[in-house]
Amino acid sequence: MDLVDRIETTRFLGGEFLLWLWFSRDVTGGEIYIKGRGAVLVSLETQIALADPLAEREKVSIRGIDPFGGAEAGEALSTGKLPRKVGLRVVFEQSEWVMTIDSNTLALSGVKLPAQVSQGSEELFYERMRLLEQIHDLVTALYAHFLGVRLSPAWASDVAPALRAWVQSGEVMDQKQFDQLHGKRRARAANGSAAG
Amino acid sequence: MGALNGPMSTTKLFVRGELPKNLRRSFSERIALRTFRPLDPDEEAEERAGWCALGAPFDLDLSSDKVWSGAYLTLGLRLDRYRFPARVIQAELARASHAALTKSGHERLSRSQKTELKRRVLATLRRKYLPSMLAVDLVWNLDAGEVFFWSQSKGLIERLGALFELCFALTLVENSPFVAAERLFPSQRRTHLDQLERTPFHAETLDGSG
Repeated sequence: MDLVDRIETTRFLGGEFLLWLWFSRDVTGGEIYIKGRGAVLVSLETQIALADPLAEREKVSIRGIDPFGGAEAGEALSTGKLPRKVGLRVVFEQSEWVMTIDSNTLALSGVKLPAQVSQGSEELFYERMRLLEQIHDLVTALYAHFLGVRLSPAWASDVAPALRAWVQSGEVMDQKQFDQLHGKRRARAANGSAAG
Repeated sequence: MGALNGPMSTTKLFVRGELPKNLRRSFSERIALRTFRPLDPDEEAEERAGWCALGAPFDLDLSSDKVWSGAYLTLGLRLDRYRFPARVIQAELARASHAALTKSGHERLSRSQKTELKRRVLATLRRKYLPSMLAVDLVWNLDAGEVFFWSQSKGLIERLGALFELCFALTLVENSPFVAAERLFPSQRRTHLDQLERTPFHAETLDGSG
């Protein structure tokens, strides 16, 4: 299979990544520890669009104070839809970004950067680029964290069943188990990962 | 909204290929060759793409201080296009055809006459109206080999890819779950990546699949 085909046939990974972020929020309250970086706080914002990766036209868009907690989102998941676009707020160290992420391309849109302090257009350009690259690096690190477990045996044995139970009944995995699967146990299973 | 102000909506692309040794000189020369050239109504070209200065579509003087900012190469992709509504073209053609038939005394126009008439009508429209203009910011981090492009339109990303390859002899690959994963994991994991299949999470999978 050539690169173009593989890119197309693995777009579902972006949807699974956003679903995993949503699940992580419910398990950990949104604090995700990334090796080499520390804690990244991820919260879900006021909008989500869900679609079936095999039938993109059947899309459900929900806006509201907590679009992730309502019956509509749960129903969409239970019919096989995955998050397609999700509003995210990411806090790392003292900085906060708000944006929408697209599962198909991992592209970020409407990114509101942390407050900038530079004076003068050249300094401001460098500061804005630094902040844009930083949020892209953080999202990539979160994706690497997800892929670490997605590519490990723990995905099939523990994480996917827990996600399935959460989708179907709202049952949330124990945080200790989540931490183990995404930390020590994953590190052994995914030996050789470039994540983080 | 672009690199210099407002919220950011970007596409991230990765640069593939080897950078030339004399990078600044080589790229400056290449950029000069592909700097945007405004459309001339007397030409037959209906659209044209080229480089302009970052955040300044009318600034086509791409001196080093505008293009090079530390580790970044900054440009704007400018795309001008003549776009006439089909109904306007049809109305103008009907008017021109009527005038030509009256003048010649013939009942109908030959195929070549119709083609020539259409060419003239389009040339008149080009002189009458200004082309639409679009400019999109682009910032290339040369150290990281990453390009940020301030648009998520598929058509514009394709235009950028074509101009970028023509200009720098390098290719751009848009970010995606697979491309990001491929960059994050070494080759032995990539084999695993190639075999991945979607995990079903919904009720129909309770029979044990997935």
